Amino acid sequence: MRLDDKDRAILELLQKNVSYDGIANRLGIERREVEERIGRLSDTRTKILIVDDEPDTLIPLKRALELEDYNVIEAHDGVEALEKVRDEIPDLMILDLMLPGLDGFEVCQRLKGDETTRSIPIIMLTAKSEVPDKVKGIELGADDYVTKPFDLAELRARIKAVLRRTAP
Amino acid sequence: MKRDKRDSRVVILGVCIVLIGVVFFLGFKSHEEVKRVVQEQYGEQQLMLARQAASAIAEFADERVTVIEILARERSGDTVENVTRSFKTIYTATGGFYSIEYINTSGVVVYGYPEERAPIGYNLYAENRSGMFDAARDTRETQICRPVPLFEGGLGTFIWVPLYKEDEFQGVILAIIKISTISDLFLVPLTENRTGEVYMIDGRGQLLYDGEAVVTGGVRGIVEEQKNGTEGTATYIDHTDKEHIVAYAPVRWRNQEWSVGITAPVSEVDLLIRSVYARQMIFMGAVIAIITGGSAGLILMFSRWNRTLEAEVKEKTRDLIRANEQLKELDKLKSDFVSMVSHELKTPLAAMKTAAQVLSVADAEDTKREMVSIILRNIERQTKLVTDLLDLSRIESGGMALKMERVSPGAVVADAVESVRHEAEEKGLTLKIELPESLPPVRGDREKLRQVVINLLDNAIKFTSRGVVCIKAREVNGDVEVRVSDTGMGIPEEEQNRVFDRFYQVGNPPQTGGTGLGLAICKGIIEAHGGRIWVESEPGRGSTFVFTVKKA
Repeated sequence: MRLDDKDRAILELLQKNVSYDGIANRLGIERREVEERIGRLSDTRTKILIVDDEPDTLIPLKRALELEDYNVIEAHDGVEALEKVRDEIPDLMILDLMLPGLDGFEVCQRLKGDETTRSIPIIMLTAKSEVPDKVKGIELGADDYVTKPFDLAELRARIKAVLRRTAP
Repeated sequence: MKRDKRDSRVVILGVCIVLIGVVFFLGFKSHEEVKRVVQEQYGEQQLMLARQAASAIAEFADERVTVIEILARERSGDTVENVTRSFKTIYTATGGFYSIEYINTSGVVVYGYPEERAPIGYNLYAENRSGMFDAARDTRETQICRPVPLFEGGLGTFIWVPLYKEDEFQGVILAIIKISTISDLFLVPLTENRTGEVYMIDGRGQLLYDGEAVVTGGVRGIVEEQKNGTEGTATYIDHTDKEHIVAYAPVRWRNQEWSVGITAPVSEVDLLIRSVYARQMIFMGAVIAIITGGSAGLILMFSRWNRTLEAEVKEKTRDLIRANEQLKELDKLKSDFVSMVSHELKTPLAAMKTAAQVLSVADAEDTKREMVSIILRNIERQTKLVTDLLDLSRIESGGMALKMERVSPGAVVADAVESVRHEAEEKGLTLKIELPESLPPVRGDREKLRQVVINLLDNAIKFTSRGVVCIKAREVNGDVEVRVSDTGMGIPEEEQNRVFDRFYQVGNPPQTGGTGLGLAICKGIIEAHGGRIWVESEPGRGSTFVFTVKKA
């Protein structure tokens, strides 16, 4: 996870046992933001990035994974996905192929071509079920490939399997 | 490499020279052969001429003798007057005699015809020229002497025919034939229209006729042969070193043995050969010209044909490639369509399925509500997609049922505008309507036309972030034209033709949501009404979708 200046300042102040209100005062931000940042910094759950341009697909999946106690972050297109990956360094990525701008294949190719992001496992998720698409996805380095409509239990199992397989 | 080339050139040149040499050698050899054959043939022909002339002369002379002999036999007992009366008849009827004379028993010429040629009173004994007369009398046979000079000049042959009444000697008829008569009749014509000469000799080699005095030194040897009475051909070289060919044939009549010779310069043969060659050359030249011309023509024709063929093949290949590309494009469109349909159908299904599964395990009310609304929204979306697909399928199969009636375009437009007003206001867009008061009704399906207008307005609103969406209608050439314009991002020219394709979405990749079927359906509906639909657009300044429907 990439820390910005505020994150670093909050961490410093926490070590000096400054209260949340104190931190908020010192940094000139609201207490809610301080709590949020601390919550994020102290979150040790597995972080999953879901990339899908369809909110109706993304939200139920997000809720389902949250119920499984995953820390879920979202991106709605390829460019945002790349940014999110660099900022948040997720533990796993669920990547839709049909995206406006950069499509899923390209996002996958870029991430697998970059030393710092190569190890992030990617599960491709798409309504396209043609074999060539699957082959292309796997060739580009995707760790798994799930077609819509999928079964939540199956997806959960696959997420676990991929995480286990790619655990350092 | 270069050296090799030069070497091979030298070899080819050498071979060519050798071949040309061989050809020339063979040519010369065959020329000699041809010359020999032609000369032979020529000689043969000359010989034939000589023979003909000889036999004609012999026959002529023999005939003359026979006539006189018949006269002598028939009139053997007659008086001199009666005998000599026939002379004139014979002279004029037969022709060829110089004179015919009657010599009495004492060797005196007593009569002759023509009279001016007859030396009447000439006494053979007195002149000591009675040899032949005596011989005729004594042998009772016709005596013919070899040609001798006449008093009047020239040579003549004397024919002595004795007249006997029983055993009583009556005298001798002497007929003289001038050699010049014979040569004029038979030899001179031979020299006409040809080079070369004719001559005749008697048995002793005395020259009887010599056209151009050819009989000089060179021909002597031949004359010796002729004196032997043989026939044949030979050559001799004259004093100007020219070679001549001579054909000779004997003239045998009675006791006379003459010989006719026909000469021709050998150069004549060459001339003949040359003329043959010339003709051959002309023929060969013509043949070569025809073959060359023909081949060139053929080559030209073939090459032209080839070129046309090539061009045709090229064109056909181009056509094929184009057709193939179109097919590929079609195939791609089809597979794109299938994959789009599957994607569009699966996406809401996936959303519903996940939402329903979340709903079944979630405890929080917020989450439950959220999931239910997602499910409902996607059912809506799925329904719209299915409706669109069914519409499209009906349009494409030609099975769309139109409820045709008189429809007021104004009402349709107003109705459609009402449906989208909320949307436009939400985006802060101005919705402008320009309808003339007197707009004629059109013939069409109210619902479907409304669907088209709504769709166009929907699109206009969707692609315009700020500005105006305007709808106008007017009458043009018996049609009602409806224009929906926006101030959105516009459509690049190369995409304007494709916006009406199924699942085609402007921008690559597509910039907005939607099924991508709306315009395809609009096009289908308008075309089913017999109208036209098109787009006018300038990227960055907005688009105008225009359709026409026929007046009612």
